[in-house]
Amino acid sequence: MILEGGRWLVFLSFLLAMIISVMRLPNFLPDWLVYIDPDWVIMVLFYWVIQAPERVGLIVAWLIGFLMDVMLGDPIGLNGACFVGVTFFGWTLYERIRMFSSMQQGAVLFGLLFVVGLVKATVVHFIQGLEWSLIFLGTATITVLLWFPVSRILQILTTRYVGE
Amino acid sequence: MFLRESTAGYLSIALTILSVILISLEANSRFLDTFRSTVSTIAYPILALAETPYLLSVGTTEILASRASLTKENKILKDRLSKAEYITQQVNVLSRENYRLRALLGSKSRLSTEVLVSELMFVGQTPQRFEVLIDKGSDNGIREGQAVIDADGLYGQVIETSPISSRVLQLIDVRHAVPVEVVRTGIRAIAAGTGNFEYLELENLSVNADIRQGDLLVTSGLGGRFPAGYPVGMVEAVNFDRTKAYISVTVKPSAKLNQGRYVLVVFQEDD
Repeated sequence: MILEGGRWLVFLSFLLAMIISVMRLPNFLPDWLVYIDPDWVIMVLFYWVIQAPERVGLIVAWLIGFLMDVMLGDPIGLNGACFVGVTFFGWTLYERIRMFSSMQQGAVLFGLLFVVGLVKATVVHFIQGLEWSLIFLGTATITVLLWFPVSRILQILTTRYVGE
Repeated sequence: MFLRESTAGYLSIALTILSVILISLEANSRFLDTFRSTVSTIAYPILALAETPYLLSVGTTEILASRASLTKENKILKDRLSKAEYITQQVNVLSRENYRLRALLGSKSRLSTEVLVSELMFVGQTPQRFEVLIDKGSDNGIREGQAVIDADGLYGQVIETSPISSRVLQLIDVRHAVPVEVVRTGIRAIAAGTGNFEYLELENLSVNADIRQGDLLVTSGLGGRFPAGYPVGMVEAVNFDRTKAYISVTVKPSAKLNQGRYVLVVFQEDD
């Protein structure tokens, strides 16, 4: 699948993912929702790098990482390195992963998020002095659970508005 | 195709190494401060968009509020205002008297302080990181290290500024500590964050320190970062453990750290 005019959809989905990652919840929603904190950007990045690897560049992924670093307060370069890792992994294996069932893709995503979470928690622990914790396991689980509907929606949008 | 894949490998490695260099550069120097503030200016529109659902929900609640509840709120606010005005009058008289007495004693008068009201923009969402973003930045004269308070007490300090916004570390973050003193006895201590909204901890207080439940703690002003005399919290529990050299004291912060939209950035006037 080569996306001819799909750039805008890729761009929009990344923008939306970034906005949702830092969104402040409306005041009628309960406070504990703060703890459900999926990694939207990696989810979207994984989708596009599998479905349309020619639309996702390493350098752009790295630069998006800077924006995330600044918005989330991470050390500069950390998110970029993680995005580069995910993109390269996807580029190398996208033909195989695209053939996987949704479940298997979810499992691959979980593995990626596990490694990314481990790296992030460790770096943040040593650089910023935050406590090392296993919260990233929760993040990975929730992201994978949301991966199923989100990938489906992106697929529908792609076929409807961009064409194969 | 093969060419592209092989260059991708090198590029990935190069970018990762560059990231590692950036991370260690930032950890050990201040070279990247301007870069960070530039990038956060670029990220500002995204943060502003991310804020809209919350602002919309607040707006709707305000529109849907009933007349009766508004009248009631208005009455409560008027009551509080008149009480506050009464206290302000007394404070004015007392501070003038204090100034004269200090002048008589020949000691330096306290630094006068000014505050800047700012609105919270983005509240850091990870359960470990207690940071908020406020809508005033270096264009308004905010500098790194300034104290931030809310209506009830000390809120945190500014850790990063960009021209249009600044990041505030709340005092409950594990990376935060503030020098305090007990109003009743004058004992000095350090109140450190615990990563929990409910309490702070006092570090290294010896077993015979005179401190009890209900004591009010204020900033001591030692260290020069925080102005003296702002309430920090109330002692909630004092636990003795015979096997330890220090007592463990938990303090409930006075500031409302997870509610409210406005905070005050404190400007200290240097002489």
